[in-house]
Amino acid sequence: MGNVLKLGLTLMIFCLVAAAALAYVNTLTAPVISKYSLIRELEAKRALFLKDRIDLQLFPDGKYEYSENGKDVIAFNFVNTAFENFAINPEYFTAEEQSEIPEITNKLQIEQFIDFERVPQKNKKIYNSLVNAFMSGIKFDNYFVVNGFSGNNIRLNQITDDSVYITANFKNSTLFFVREDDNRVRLEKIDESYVEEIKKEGKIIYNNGTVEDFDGKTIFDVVEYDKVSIGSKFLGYVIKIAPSAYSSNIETLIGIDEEGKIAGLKIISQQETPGLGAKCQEDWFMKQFVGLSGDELELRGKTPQGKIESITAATITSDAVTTGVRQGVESFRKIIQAGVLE
Amino acid sequence: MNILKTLKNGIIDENPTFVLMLGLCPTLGVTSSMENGLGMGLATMFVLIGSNMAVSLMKSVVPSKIRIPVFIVIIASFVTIVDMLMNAYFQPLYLKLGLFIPLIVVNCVILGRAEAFASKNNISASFLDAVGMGLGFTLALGLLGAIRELFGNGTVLNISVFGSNFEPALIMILPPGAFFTLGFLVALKKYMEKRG
Repeated sequence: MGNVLKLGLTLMIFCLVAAAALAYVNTLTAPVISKYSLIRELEAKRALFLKDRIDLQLFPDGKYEYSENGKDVIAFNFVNTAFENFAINPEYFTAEEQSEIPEITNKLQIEQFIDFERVPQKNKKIYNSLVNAFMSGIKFDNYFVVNGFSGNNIRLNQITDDSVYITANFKNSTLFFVREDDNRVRLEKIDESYVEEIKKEGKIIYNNGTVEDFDGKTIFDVVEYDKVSIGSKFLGYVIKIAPSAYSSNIETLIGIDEEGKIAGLKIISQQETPGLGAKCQEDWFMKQFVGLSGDELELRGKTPQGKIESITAATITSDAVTTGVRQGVESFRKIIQAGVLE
Repeated sequence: MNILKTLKNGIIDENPTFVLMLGLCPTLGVTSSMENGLGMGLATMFVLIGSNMAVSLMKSVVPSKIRIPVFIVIIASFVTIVDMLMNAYFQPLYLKLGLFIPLIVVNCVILGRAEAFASKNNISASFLDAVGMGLGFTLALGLLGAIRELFGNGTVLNISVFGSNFEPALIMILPPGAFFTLGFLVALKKYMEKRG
């Protein structure tokens, strides 16, 4: 008996030492890991709106000129662009050879867009600089909307007119929103203790103006989204979904344009089987979604009019992504139609 | 001479996949392409070296009756620490190999070598054993992956071999293909050994 106890204690000591070591390493690495994942997510978000064309009207103040001193030739000089806070300096793009400049500037001035498919190899550097400028100029504004439980109405309850917060009940706790302007709310804090108070005096005020008694049980979905813009030009929205697939939740970013169609799709994290389900991260699979609207998102194997080709031998993964994206895009389209986004 | 013998032991005489038949679950699971096979093999080798050395260092303080649970704790902690450090400080490597690291926790090769070798030998011998076994495992998985990818997808390391007219035998990258390939490779190895 004493022997068993001794062995048990020894094993416990080993476990405690191991747990302490793990905890220590975790405190060291967790901040670094989350920083990297934020950076990766931001990069993925930016790439969502990069099409095979960039509208050069986004660079309204660009002058095409070149100086003749030194090896580098200035191809573009942005005197006063509409962009703010560039991560890189986009003012000067340089070309290797002076002879390239007239050709490129002519083309850009006539066509006013870059077609990546047709960019000649020798001009890649300049075009890549333009892409970088485009990517770093994209701005994301993060918002939350409260999505009504019974459909496409966005419902907010307002306790009193002079209250600082607009509240909504979410899974048994209260969400406190702050009004940003007429159409936008921002999640401020969550506090359980306020539930009773709302029950006592709360009313739900719908978007269309009708008022209803609030019983404190209504559950709302909060949809988080980013409004995406570059300069003064509006590009669309980004939402994030994480449908459960074969062996993991597939974290996916969806870029949505103003009509509710998919502008871009990027899977940022998954743990599916390597070689099978993990192929959902490949470009060909994600590219299939671009340009489609929610109701077109079905696997071809399931319905004849479906537009998504599933991954060989990974139907569960393909279906999970397709269904998840369809649901995400459809419900967000309803929010767009409800007209509460800006 | 002894070094070469230990390495040869891991790669050929006691190859973890073809002879010891250890760690078959990840072996069959991830070898649908050569890249995945090599990735899993390298990640396993890395962990195997660390765990073999750790077990060898601690063998004198571990009571023999509870050695297996203690080894499991050591290995699982080591794998998790490697996972976290790699994710934080070696991002490019982690993006390639990170997928396989959680699979290694349950890999019997690691526990098998801890029990059969590292708990009875000194640290330098354990290191060599881990390198040999790791190389044997990596080569075996790379070979399995290459064969399955070639017939199942028409490519090797994502480079097309047969051209676009080739109709791949899909079954080779599905689970049955793993068993077929492993069976044929083991038989081939036995046949060649018999012939000397």
